[in-house]
Order: sequence, then structure tokens, then C-alpha cells
Amino acid sequence: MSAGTDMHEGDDDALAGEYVLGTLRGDERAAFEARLAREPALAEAVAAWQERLAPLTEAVAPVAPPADLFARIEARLETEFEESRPATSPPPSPAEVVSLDEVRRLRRALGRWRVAAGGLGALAAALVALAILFPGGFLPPPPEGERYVAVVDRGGDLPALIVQVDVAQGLVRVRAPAAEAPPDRALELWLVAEGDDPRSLGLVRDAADFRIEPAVARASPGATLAVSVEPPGGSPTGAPTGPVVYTGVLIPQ
Amino acid sequence: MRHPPDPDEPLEALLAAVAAGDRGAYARLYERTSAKLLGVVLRIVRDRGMAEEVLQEVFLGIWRGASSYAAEKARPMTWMITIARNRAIDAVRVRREVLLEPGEDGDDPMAAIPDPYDAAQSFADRDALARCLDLLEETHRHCILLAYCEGWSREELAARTGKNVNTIKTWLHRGLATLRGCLSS
Repeated sequence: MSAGTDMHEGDDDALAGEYVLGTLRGDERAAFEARLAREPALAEAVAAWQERLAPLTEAVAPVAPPADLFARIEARLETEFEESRPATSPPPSPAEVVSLDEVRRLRRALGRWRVAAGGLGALAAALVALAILFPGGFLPPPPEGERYVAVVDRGGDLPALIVQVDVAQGLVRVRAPAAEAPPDRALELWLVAEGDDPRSLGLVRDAADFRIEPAVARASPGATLAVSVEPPGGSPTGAPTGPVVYTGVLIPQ
Repeated sequence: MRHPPDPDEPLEALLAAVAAGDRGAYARLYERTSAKLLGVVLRIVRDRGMAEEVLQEVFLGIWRGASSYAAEKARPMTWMITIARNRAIDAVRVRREVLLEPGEDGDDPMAAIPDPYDAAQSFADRDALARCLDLLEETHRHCILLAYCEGWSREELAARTGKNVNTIKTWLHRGLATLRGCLSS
């Protein structure tokens, strides 16, 4: 049905346009980013919209930043990237990874997933996005939304966090094989459900369990999990205040 | 500064040097682009202090992502503007939902929408984009410009126009399709 195919392509181009406009949010945005990782044509459509619309910013008047802003950026570079430069930022070596065996076990158990690597260029850098592809049909259908898992990453070989949500128990289990908090900062885990403010699940440690209301977990499949950099002790405002460094999507286990 | 900005130094070369960890190139890149990027961010977040915070994130993102910048896929400024817009939209997402509580809509919702089009047009008269934007229905054009330039969500556009979200989505899609058709002809 060729008309259907054309319609589909038109829809995709509209989605790509909306993604660039910034009006694709929440679950829709996460789902779109998951597709971007494996569909080069979609990534090309996004790049094309970025170029098409970029001239709009020519109308924006430059605003000189305060004189000390670059020094503040450099200071943060020192603390946040002191051991990893862009050209030489390998994933942590297996020796540094706390629970690599566990990662491998889960990886096998979940079947094949793919992690968005750096190939998306601008998008990967801009969004620090991760997409997990989870081929439907490989595993039995989800048992009425009992357990969900998210692999939360920023594009390296290893997931930074593995987050499991047990709906019945209202339990969120986090393992952090490769998450590193900058010195004097904490990593905070957020659940971002469609139409809802980000909800803090707690601070990320190597391994941690969080209790949440089962109703929250039940409402959360497809939600995005995000990890932001916060002051020690977590966000003072109840909303993310620092940069989001890892994201992932909750999928049925 | 030992290496003053050279307006002729290609941004692609600066980004490549930044990818290799060249802090001098990073400083020059900042000199060349920070004011523009702050303008882009400020337009979306509308708060000077917050915009400066976001700009820090933008430049940390540039440092972090420079090695994945692909010159054949995007122009350097487009790539950096994409980072800036995404960070800015992230920053306002929560705050805007609060601001958009019901009760502030006037009698004529469309009148409450600032029109960024005039400025865009004055800058880009010769530009194909400006000509093509002219072909759009005014409401569609408003929505596209407010979304791109000021980071409005579908829900915000719906609230301010008094339409439902699906109508906004339809407007955006129609406007984008018209733009694409016009720009490719």
C-alpha cells in the first residue's frame, strides 16, 4: 500500500520537525530518540530540519555573557572532566566496574539491546540521550506490568545504571556499575512521566533500593529515567537543578 | 590572551581542536560563539541568571560532545545552537508548567502571543526561510516560531490560543509540511 508508506514517511518527517521545534516532549520524545538511534533516515530528517530552521536564530540578538562566565565554565571543567577528555574518554575498564557480571547477566536475560553510541553526533552530544531498543516478541509479553527495567546511560559501552521497577512491591532497585559523580556532587535519579513534573527517586549509589508508591510505578511504563548532577544531599528544590547526565526509558522486563 | 579570536578561523577547525582537548581552542570558540548562544538561550528561558547557568551547561556539553561533532552532518553553528536550544528547553520545562496555570488568559488569546516574526524577517529578508514562512497561515507560523525561538510546548501553545493540543499538533505539522515543500522547491 504505497499511499500508506507515503503517509508514514510524512508522519516521520513531521515528527522530526516537531523534535527540532522542541514540541515533542515526554514519552513521545523518548520514543522518537529511541528510533533515532537505529534509523539513519530519521536522523537525516532531523539534521535537515535543524539546518532548515537554524536561520531563525539569525534574528536573535547576541547577548554578551558576564566577563567571569568562562572562568566559571573552566572551573567546572576541572572538576567534572579532570580525568576524561573528549578524545580520550573510554568507558571504565572492567576492573573499575563494580558489577560487570551482573550487567552481563541482565544483558543476556533481556535479550538484545542496543545503546545509542556517539554516531548521532550533534544529537548525542546535545541530548546526552540513550536509546534502548527492545525487540518486541523476543521475550514473553509483560506480565500485566509487573516489572520494568531501564538501562540508563550516556552512550558508552556500559550502562551507567540499571534500574528495575517492581510494581507490585513499589520497589525501585538501582545498580550503578559505571556511574560516577563529580567530586562534591551527588547524582540524583528522577522519574519523568508524561505530563508530570520530574519526581525524585533518590540519590544514586553503587546499589540502592528506593521505595515508591506502587501507583507511581504502575503509571510509569514508558516514562523516562534521568540522572542529574546535584549538590551533595540532592536537589534543594525538589526539581532537577543540575545538568542531566544520563537518561533511559522504562521498558517491560 | 595568547590566542585572540580570529574571525577567519573556521569553527569546524576549532571544534576539531576542542575534540582533541585543546583548551586554547575552546576559549576561542567561546569568544566567538558565546554571545550568540546566550541570546538564543535567553530568548527561551527569559531569565538572565538562569540563561547564564544554561550557557555553562551548553559549553560543558560542547566540550563533552566535540568529538562526536560530524562536520559533514551539520554546520558548527547549527550544532551548537541545537545544544543551546535543547538545554534551554530542558531548563524551562518545569517552570513553564507552573507559569501556565489557568487564569491568565485574556479575552483574545492570540493577542497575548508575541510575534517573533518581525525580527526574523528583518534579518532574513533574502532568506528562503523567510519567504517560505510567508506562505504559512498566520496561526501556523506563530506556533512554529514560538516553539522554535521561545521553546513553547504544544500545551503552552494550546493554552495561549484557546485551542486543544491536537489542533496545535495539526497546525505544526501542516506548517512544517508547507515549509518543507517550499524550501525544497
